[in-house]
Amino acid sequence: MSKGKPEKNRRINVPDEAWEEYIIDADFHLNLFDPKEYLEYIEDPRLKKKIEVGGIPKGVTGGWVFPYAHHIADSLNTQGTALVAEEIDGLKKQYAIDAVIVGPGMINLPTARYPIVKNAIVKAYNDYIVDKVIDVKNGIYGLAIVPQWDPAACVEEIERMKDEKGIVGVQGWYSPQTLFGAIEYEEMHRELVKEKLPLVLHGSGFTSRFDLLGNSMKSVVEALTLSWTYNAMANVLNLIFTGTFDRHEDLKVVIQEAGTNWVPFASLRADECYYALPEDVMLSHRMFEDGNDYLKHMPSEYFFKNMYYTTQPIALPKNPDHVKSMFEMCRASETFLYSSDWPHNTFDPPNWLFNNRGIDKETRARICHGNSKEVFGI
Amino acid sequence: MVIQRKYSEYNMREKIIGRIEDFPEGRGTGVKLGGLKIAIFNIDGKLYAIHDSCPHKHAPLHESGSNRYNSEKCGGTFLGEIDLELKMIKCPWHGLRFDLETGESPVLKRKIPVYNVVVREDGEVAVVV
Repeated sequence: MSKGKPEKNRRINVPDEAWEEYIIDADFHLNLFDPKEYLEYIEDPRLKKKIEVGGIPKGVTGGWVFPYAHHIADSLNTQGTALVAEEIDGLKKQYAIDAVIVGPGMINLPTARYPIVKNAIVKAYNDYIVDKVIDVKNGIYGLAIVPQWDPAACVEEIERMKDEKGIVGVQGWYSPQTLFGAIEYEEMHRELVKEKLPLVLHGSGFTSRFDLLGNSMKSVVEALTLSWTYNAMANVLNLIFTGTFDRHEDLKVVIQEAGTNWVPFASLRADECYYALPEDVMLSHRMFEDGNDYLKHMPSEYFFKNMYYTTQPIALPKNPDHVKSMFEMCRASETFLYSSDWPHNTFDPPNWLFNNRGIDKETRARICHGNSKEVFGI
Repeated sequence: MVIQRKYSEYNMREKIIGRIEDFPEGRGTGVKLGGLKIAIFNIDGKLYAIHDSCPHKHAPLHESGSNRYNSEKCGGTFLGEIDLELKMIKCPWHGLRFDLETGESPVLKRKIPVYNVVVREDGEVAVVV
């Protein structure tokens, strides 16, 4: 299906073939930071006042900024801002993108204080996107935030949002202090499987309070290179080794913005360590309760059966043969979802998927839309 | 000595690997048959034969249950043991478990080869391969 030539913004140099491919962006941000945009969805006057005056509670961050944008205030949103369906629709057409999975930009929410206030913001955000952002006809889908600091409220929020048209998953963050294999999330996992919704986890702040290693890094580039990746890995391993996927075989988890090339390393190492210490898993809460001594499958199998990985920031080897091998090792055709991270300064337009002989057409189609359709039920 | 006869004494697939006294009770012994490596375990007088290479990193499984280098200096602890009751062995290198009767590993969810052992009345021991 041809989308026709873009009307403007040829500067990003998206190749012509991209306009022939159906492309779903699995990590597109709505940077809804100004409280006045969503105050109308907050009823309680005490919460309304707190949010009106103080905005989103500040995360306990490591003080990282991206000072290479034109203005510090815009240091994350270097590509612009789109806050409602019409703006998003206009924007995605410039990049040969057909559909977007909109997620929130509030990445520091997990570490911020005032959980009651945060719960109100989560609800307001979710109501806002249902009202003003989601537009299924035009390929705009959304992720409802789950307040991960309050597992019972996560379940309530899934219950509240599950039937909203265009909500295709729930959004959490792989922040350093949260491991989603924890037994506290049991009901949430059960609910997600029941409602056939994936758990989508994005990187969270380089938090000083919880991520001691990240906090010790001396530049943002060090933290961006590794901090999110190892926090993502920690969550994937925790989900696997606590038997989450043995109890919830159909639970699907999408890891956003952690990169991709760590998947072979982590999956092989997980197998290797499991070979050496298989008895360890029986002592996790879930496995102990179920009387399971061992996992049903080797750890690496869950990396490919239950997990998906968004591609941004893609880091391709220069040699196309290596790209091909890397994609085979990652089982990219089953697990990768194209993502842009728009509008942040690590934005990836979809041009890398084209004109690389290491990526065949079939794999490209799976990454561009096949896997996203599958996991998000689009 | 337990006389283990499962096949006719004329079974051409029986290969002699030694005499019963070559396989001391409570431990494993490695034997080679052509290109095959087989670990023989004598548990309560009954012999078990299992492929003598762990599929993880090819450790010699017959060393399961044997003392390790200087193990007495570290409290006598070592990895890899024989569970006499369950008829299970643990790989001496990393501890993967295998059922001596079936070759199954509960971790790998697959089997490694096991062989029938024949102890003849004259004390000769053969495996059926």
